[in-house]
Amino acid sequence: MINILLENVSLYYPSNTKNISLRKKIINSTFGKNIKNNHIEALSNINLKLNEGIYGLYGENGSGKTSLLKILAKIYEPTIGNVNINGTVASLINIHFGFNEELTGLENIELKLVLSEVHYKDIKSLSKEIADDCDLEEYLQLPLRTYSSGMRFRLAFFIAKHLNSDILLMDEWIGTGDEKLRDIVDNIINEKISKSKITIIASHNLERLKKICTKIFYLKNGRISNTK
Amino acid sequence: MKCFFNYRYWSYFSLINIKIKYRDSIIGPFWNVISGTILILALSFGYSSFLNSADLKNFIYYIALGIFTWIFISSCLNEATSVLEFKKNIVLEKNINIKFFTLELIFSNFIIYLHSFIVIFILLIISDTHLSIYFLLSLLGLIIISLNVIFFINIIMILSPVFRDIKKIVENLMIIFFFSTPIIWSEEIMSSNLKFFLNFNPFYHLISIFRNPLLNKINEQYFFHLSISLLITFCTIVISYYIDKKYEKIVKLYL
Repeated sequence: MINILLENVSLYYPSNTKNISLRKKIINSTFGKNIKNNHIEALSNINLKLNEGIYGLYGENGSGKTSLLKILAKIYEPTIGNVNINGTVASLINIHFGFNEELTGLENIELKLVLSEVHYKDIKSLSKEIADDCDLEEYLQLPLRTYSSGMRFRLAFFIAKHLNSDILLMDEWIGTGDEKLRDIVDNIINEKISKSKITIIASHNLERLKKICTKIFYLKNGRISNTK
Repeated sequence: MKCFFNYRYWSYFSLINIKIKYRDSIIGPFWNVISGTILILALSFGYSSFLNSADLKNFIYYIALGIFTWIFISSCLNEATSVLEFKKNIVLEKNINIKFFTLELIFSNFIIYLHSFIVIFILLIISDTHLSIYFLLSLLGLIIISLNVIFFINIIMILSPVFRDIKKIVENLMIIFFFSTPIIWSEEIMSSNLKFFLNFNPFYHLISIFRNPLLNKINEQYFFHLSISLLITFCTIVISYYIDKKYEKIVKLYL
């Protein structure tokens, strides 16, 4: 069964600027001087139990939405607490991740598929499918550094479209300035959400979250302050 | 260990790395061979003033074995200081085992290193060295060197984002070790007192277990180097395991 369980999860970011030198650390340990480790509490005592559904994470900037998504994507391990996730996770936290400026569009498609752990036997056929789908034609033979931001988005988005998972994590609604593409993107996102068993969308747009989510968690200073 | 067997992925990334590095170059990784060869030729020009031609041929071969192996080791360790910083847009966006980058780094540098064997082979033919079957022991040496480099990379890669001065420390240490390891000079010129201190240099033993079989020097000294190298490997694995336990979970938070 696909589910997510977070028990007393806290995440601390190190913020000590005095302890970032190995030389100083060795000198201080030798002379018995102990520098206290400072940290910023990004998440504090989060308890969540999520079964199938569409969930929203609402909060202002710096409230801990992205940190929580990164815990759910298993990018960060919690400083305290337990995380138990049953199901495959795909994160659309940053759809441009892993791109290499020097490689061509086509090579970048392959690179992202390898990074997304697509079976090597399927990479060639899936690359071709994505290349046909994203409609970048001869631009796919050019290095990514020559692409406009719209073309990059198109490439990244159509790669993400082809990667399926049980759990879908999104940081803000994926938006595009291109009017022609906007409807396509919205339809594909809706399709992806309907295919995923659990979808979690972090946003500071409460109205949009209310429209699509079955439950919204309100985050403030790294804590869940309210649930609706 | 699971990461190690996922060889299709890290070898793919290693080849992509080489491709990017030498994209607009016709000779590709041979650039590294050329720079190493120029250094060897420049040194041999200097040594020619106090060595006769027979000794010079053998000495150039000796230097080549050391220099190319050193370039391989030092490139891996220097690149390890910034690998996570360069891969930040992957590490912070995807749940990926960072050991993957260790294997990617060593494999791409190893492929570049293999290109230098053409020069080493040519110099072997020119020199007076006659190889016996024991030259195969150099393969064992290469495996032990690679194992050590993997664990060295792991230690440096994990510590670099946590302690920001690691990059400078590694850069300086590599320069010190280059000059204090018998690579461009022979240990035979050292007094016995100084030779004793040489035993505390791990790279001396590691390079010797690869170089000595290719110089047909399989003697007591070789087995001493081999046992010390195995001890170094054990220590590196233990330190790497300790660093993993202490920092691997939190290293991403420092990026």
